[in-house]
Amino acid sequence: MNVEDVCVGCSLQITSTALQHVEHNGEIVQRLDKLESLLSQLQSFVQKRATTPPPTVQETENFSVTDAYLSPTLATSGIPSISQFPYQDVLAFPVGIHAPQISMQMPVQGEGQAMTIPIGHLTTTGSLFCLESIRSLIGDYPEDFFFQIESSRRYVRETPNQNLTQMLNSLAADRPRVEAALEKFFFEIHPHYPILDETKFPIFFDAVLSGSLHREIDAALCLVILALGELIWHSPDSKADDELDCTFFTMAENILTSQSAASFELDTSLPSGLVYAAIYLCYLQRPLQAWKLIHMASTQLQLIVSQ
Amino acid sequence: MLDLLRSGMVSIRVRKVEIHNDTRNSDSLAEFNLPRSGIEIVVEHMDFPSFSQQSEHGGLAFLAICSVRKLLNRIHHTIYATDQRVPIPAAAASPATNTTEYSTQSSGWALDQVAVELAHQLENWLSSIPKPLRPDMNNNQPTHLQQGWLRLRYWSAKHIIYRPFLILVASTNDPQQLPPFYMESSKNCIEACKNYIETAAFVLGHRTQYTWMTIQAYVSLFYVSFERPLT
Repeated sequence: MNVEDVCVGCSLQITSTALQHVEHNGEIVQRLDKLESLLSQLQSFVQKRATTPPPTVQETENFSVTDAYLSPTLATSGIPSISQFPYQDVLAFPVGIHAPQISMQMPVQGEGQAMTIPIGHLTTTGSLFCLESIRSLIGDYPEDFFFQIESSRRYVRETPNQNLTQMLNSLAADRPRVEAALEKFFFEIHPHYPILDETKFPIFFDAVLSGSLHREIDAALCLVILALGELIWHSPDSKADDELDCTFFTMAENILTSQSAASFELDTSLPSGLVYAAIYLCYLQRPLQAWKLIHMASTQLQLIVSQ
Repeated sequence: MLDLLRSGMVSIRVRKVEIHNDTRNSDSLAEFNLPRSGIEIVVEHMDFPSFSQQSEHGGLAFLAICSVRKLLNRIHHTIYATDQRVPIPAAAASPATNTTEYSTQSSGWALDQVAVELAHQLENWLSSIPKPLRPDMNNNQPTHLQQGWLRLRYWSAKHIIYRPFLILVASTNDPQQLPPFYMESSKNCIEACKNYIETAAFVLGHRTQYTWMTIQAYVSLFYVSFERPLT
């Protein structure tokens, strides 16, 4: 896949979906054509950039903090222990070490809610498209343009032709497949979302397959991890997302969403499964459906914390 | 027995799941302005999770992503939130700049000072990443996906710090009349956009959970960088 493929694929997808749901189709198509034309310039732009020397980071020179506030271990050795790594302090450092006149004046808004995106912020792509200077480039779009596109995309999962017991039995008889998927999952995905214990989870998986653990929620968590591990085998160009075999994921999603509505059990298999299902949907470029699962997981986690 | 097995075999920490949850959620909330679940109230009062020795490398990268998420949210709050006490560049008070994207509800805090401070915090974030993980920002060719994602977060944050200046310069008839810092900041913004686009080309060559978000930002930054050319 190269840059041009990505851009063209993206704009074609936008074009086909937008046509069905936005009024004034002809006008929109003209604008999207213009968009696509601009995007097509990107390849030459990137090629040109590739032949020029890389930029320097001027700010690094101006603010020569480097490792000054890290522990000696951090500054001089290889990977430090987590306890030595002051990420929390990164953002809580005294404001304006290098610009004290600012530290006396600047309001640090959201200090108490730094993990939360503010309501009504104006940095979405939709907001950007509403700016006059951008509209002069691409024309008029509604601010929720991308929401309209994403919410109108068809989302259908075929019902698996096996029930859960049959699926688990077939997996128990095909351990190499399970091991390969788990290995791939822990190598590729786990570093980005290190929720599970890499040593203990395979034992848990075995317990589910052997029938020692027979809760549907535990099985769903295993299936969604399996689905993620197998998804990674496919490169972006090898199969279209709609052609991927989502059997394991579909089974897991059905269980997780129904249990989310019905279950009041206070363990972490359900919210973990929902989070990993959301990650799976992110791999399939389904941000809105992923958000719904995250929302369910959030509710479940709040219930756990409150208890 | 089963309870013991379950609790012993699955070491899933609620805290980790919640932090993941909120980090993941913030990106969708950011783009679609979706309703909140309420989890953020819990997460705000939590420490970052710790990790076992085995997952230390991945854990460090994950913590780096968490911390830059906080910085990105701080940038949103400080520059772009439609809230009170937000900064405003002095030049934005003119009628000619009614197309700005940052909030103009209040005044008193100079945006240029805020931008300098936030840029400083961003550089601190970068320099705090342990050397084995820290990307070389003078080179836009990541060696692996995790490093590519750290780079994208850096360039994305840098671009939104300086974007108001570029919008202002592009919507002003005579940009040369603006303070030199505005022009310099606009160049910084364009440079960040270009670097993001170059890095994204690498990330988009893989199947990742970041694909949609990266393409979305890619489109956005492409148009930002193609605003009126600076002289």
